[in-house]
Amino acid sequence: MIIKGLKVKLGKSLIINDFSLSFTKGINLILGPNGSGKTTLLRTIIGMIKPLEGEIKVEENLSFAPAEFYSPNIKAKDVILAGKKKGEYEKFVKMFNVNELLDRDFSTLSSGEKRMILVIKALAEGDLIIMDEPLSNLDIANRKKIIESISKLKEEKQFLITSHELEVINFADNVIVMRKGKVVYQGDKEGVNEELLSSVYEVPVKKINYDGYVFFRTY
Amino acid sequence: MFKAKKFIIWISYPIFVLKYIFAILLPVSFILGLLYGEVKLNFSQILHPNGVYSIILFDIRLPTVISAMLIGILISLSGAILQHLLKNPLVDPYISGTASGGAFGAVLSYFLLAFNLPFSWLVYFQPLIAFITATLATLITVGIGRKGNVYSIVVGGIVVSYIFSSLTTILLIIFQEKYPQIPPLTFWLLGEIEIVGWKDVIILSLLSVLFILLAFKFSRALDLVSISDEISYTHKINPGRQRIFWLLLVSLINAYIVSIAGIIGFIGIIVPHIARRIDGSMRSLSIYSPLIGATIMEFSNIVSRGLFGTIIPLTAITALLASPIILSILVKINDNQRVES
Repeated sequence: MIIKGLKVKLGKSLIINDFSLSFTKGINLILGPNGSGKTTLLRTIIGMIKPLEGEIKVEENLSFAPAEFYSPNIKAKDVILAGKKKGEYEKFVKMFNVNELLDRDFSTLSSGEKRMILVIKALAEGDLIIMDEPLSNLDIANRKKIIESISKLKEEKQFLITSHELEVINFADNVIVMRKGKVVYQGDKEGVNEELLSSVYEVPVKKINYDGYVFFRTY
Repeated sequence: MFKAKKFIIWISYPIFVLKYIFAILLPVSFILGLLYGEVKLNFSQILHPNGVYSIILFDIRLPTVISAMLIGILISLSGAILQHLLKNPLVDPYISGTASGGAFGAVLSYFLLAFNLPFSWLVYFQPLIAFITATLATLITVGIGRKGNVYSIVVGGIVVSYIFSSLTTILLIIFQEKYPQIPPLTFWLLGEIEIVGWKDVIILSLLSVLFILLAFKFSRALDLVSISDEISYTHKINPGRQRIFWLLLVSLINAYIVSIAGIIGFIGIIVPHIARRIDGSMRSLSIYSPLIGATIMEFSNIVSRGLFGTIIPLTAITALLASPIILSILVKINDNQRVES
């Protein structure tokens, strides 16, 4: 997928301004403060929002795991089967061990379980999987599950993930940092330093390297 | 004490009981509908009708009974689909303003009589004008309800319904004296199913078959639109276009129903609610909403058409039937909202 010169307007404000990007294989992580245009970017890629200018060339089979969704009184298995696509649902249901959940009413599941079902759906349906805040509302065990499976799958699938959890940087192959609708950094996780994050989030950020794993904290 | 406990356990028993209960109740309601009405018939008159009973049975009773079931199918399936599309368990063609808008259009079409149009031509214009006003009312209500919580559309619908009902009332007062062949206010605002002849039955049958088949065919797409607009786009499903398509279809169907039977409320909310206890997916709803809707509409119509001696308007009956169920929906919504915030 290639994006060139993208400009997106929502109402009166220009949310995305001259955004250009090419995505690599593996895990592409988009970071940025609230309102930097991450969700708008994802929605424009899938065709929900029409851009003002620019071009998006998508060849891959897209799927989406949303941050917000409605929970109808439908069985979890029907949620997975909803829509027009055929996916490798069984493979991923087994991988995440959610067989007991399938016959239950989706609206009665915990928010973590609901997220898992939608992540499984997205993994099964697409080759380029877009995930909007996949770790929010999940406990540390479920977060580990998702991060591990995404890492395991990055040979076969391509990922485009937004996150507020800066630690996901540790697993990313390509990091994109957005600010006010523009790309302010694109590249390796090593290049994401304290100066960059402090200016983007407008708050002092400290980067701590421990055992080859980076943590971030404000101070 | 022991009996009461057993009864309570039985009543909250598994959902499959629901499925079979309505499969049995439907033919029961059909037979009761044939027997009870303004003229009470007995079994021999149904099986071997002659003379005036033959006319009553074939020209009035059978069309009325079958139409009531078909109208029940159409309104309840409309409710199920609107609830899916608008992600809201409280909408139906009554609350969405569709029915009131349709009634206004139907009554407005009588206005054409004032321009010396023969009464018999009205049957062609009426559904068209009713469809236009029904769609207009629906769009206004949905527009009001879009950016808000689950209650915004209900409030919007109440306001829109009041406006159109009041306009309908005013028009009827003006016309009543000059054109006594126009059905009265209670017919329009509170509903009444009494069908003479088979023309309407044929149209209702075609609409029912079409509606059920479409709902079943698009059931997986409808499920997905209900869950997430974003995922829908990745399936090459355009949720906006789906909404417009189904809203127009629901407006068309309900405008027609209102022009022959007036405003019948509440069936569209409560039937999908009951059917959802079996299974909330559109595949299941497209079968069980019609089944349960036809049964409940038929029983309501039996009560309406003189079971207790006098004719009672339909919406009065369905409102009473629906009130405990609507209360339970509201309680559930409040519980959920308290937990989420």
